[in-house]
Amino acid sequence: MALGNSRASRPQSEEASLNITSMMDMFTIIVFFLLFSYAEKPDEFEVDKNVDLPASSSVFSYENSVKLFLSEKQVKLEDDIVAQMQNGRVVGLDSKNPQSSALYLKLKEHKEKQLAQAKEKALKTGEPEKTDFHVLFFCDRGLPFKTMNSIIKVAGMAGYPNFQLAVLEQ
Amino acid sequence: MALGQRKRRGGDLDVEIDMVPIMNMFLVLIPFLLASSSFLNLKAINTSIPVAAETSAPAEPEKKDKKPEIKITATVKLEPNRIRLQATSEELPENKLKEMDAQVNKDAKGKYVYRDLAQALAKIQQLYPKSDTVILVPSDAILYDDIVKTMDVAREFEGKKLFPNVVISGQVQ
Repeated sequence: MALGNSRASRPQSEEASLNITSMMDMFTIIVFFLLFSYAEKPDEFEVDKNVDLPASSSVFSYENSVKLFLSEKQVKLEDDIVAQMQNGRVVGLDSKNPQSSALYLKLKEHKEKQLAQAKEKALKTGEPEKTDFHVLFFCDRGLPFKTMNSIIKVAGMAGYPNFQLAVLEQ
Repeated sequence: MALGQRKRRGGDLDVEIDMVPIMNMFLVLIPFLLASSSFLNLKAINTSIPVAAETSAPAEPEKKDKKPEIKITATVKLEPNRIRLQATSEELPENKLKEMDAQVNKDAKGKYVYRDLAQALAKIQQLYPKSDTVILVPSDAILYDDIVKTMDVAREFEGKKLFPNVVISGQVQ
């Protein structure tokens, strides 16, 4: 056999070496690709598993702002559950008196915190004070507008009339 | 020594870099970066709710040498069985505005025919290019997915830019 003959004819002290240059090239490309794609999204955060986002042709990037997650089960503001959902209605949200709801109070608290931070930053840097803050909504694609609207109204009353709707890139 | 040095017959040094530690580092880095990177590409739709102005701004005097640029605000009412498009403007008479109104029904599969809506919006855009705002008024039962699709169509359809500002408004009861 050819293999057996060549092995027999080789001197016993010869070391077998593996050429890893091509593998190194591949790894270097993968590492750089991953590092750059990681650097592009510094604000990565975990999207609530109960929220199934719709796809959109929008090309705008989201801004780091107050995140509100609306699923069929609950309403989450950042990491806090502020209300439960029951049959498409927000439990504890009185449409006649939304100012008494936990959602309104939490949003108001966030707004005041953001305004204080913006004021402090403006004093330090001398730049004009930022006042236009918005909410980034993560709504489940199966939610009816009635549910969304009640929460959008509360956000507007709490000082967030402008908002962004988070979607998946098409 | 890490750097393997092999003497050639002529006396020159043949330097071989030991790649194994670098390979080890890469093998650790790649799974870490893969695990921590997200492949969900998130985008955002900028929108707002209509806000009442605190004071009414005084009307600016019209320049005599320039024809006033007419702006149409398109109101898109999303209903469970159809989409109704209404054109509104203070600068045009009612009969002119009525000509731009349209109604889009659902197809046999029960889906909105977005192409018809886009064509109606494109017609308004073509006649009055300064128009840039759509007020979207969905009914209570309309799903968020349909709202997003309608917003997409109102902004752009098949590469053609339509109305960049889409405002969401609830129905007045």
